[in-house]
Amino acid sequence: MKEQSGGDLLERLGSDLSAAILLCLDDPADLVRLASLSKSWRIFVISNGFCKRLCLRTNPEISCFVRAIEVGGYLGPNMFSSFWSNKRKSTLTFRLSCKLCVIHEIKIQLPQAEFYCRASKCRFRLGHMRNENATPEELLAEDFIWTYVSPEFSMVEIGDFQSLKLQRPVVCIGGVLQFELLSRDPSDESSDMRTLIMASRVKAIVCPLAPAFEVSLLDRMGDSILMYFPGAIPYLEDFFVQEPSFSSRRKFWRKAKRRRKNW
Amino acid sequence: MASYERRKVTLKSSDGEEFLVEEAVAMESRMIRYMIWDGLAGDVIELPGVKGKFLSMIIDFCKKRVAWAAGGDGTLEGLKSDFVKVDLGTLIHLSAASFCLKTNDLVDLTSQTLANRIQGKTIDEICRALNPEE
Repeated sequence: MKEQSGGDLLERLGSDLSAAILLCLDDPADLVRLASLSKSWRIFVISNGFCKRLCLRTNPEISCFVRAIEVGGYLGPNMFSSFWSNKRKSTLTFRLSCKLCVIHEIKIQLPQAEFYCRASKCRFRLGHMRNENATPEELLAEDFIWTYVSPEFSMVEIGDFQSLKLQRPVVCIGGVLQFELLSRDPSDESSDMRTLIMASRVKAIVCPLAPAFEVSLLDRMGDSILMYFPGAIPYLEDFFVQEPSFSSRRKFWRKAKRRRKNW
Repeated sequence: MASYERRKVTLKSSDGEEFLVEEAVAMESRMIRYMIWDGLAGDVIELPGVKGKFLSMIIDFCKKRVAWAAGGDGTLEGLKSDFVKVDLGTLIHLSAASFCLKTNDLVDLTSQTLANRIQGKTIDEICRALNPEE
């Protein structure tokens, strides 16, 4: 009965009006519920790509995916240590333990009041490295592809962790997070900013998409393939907090060279 | 004032009703506007996809909108909210008529109103919300 009424409803509204209504919806749960009304609604929603369109609208950073493929079985979770890269004088670059995840919140803690006086704002970037095997010493600014750059956040709290509230959850494609402190004086190139950034603590509240989803970076321009492992859906984890340790840097690269893991 | 704003045109619905309106009001519909610009519109413009009852409501909205744009009272938001204060069956027909006439803002308005009726609802509630017979 429900199947028949769902199909009749689509016929009564017509494809143009139905499409116009679906494009007005901004919650993917509503699209999924409509797709479950009947077989004809399911075909209509999937064949017209409404879920994909909504996802691109809410998370434009995923436009780098040129293709999506479904893979049987699944890879185990890749738990890599994070590292600090300090080539830039006021940036801190590290890897999250997931190559593909959703970031809901970033927390920053500046060490002392006098350091706070020098840094008025901060921002962060998400993306990946052009060369996955490069060492921190080799990295330059142009070696990263950023899929998301945050707005500037004012630094207002000293001592406790300050939460950088995002307007929406952001998909991190590639697992690289770069945090940058912006000096009150744009011409400030003193070593104090380097000291400040190294003494800061950064936490990221992430929701990993692995092992159900993985990203395969296609080329150096940033195009990627989204891999889907339907068998791994039950193994999706809840949120967890990522805070890389200071001591992990050298240890990570020694281990990485030994393991020769493929990101 | 340009002379075309005073000219009138007759719109004929699918069930034979005729409406004499100012050209400026008729041109709120992109379909009619392009017909007039391209010289394809005769004395009577036939609209086989739109019934008289709904064409009348759309013409009424367009008249009020043109009057508002010329400095009339009220707000555009008020006009729009009054336009969609109708039952579900009428709303669906108005939306289909707006598609036919290519009055884009009415298409957006009616689509958004219908979308608002199903946001956050369960499957059964969606069926009831979009079924004019219940």
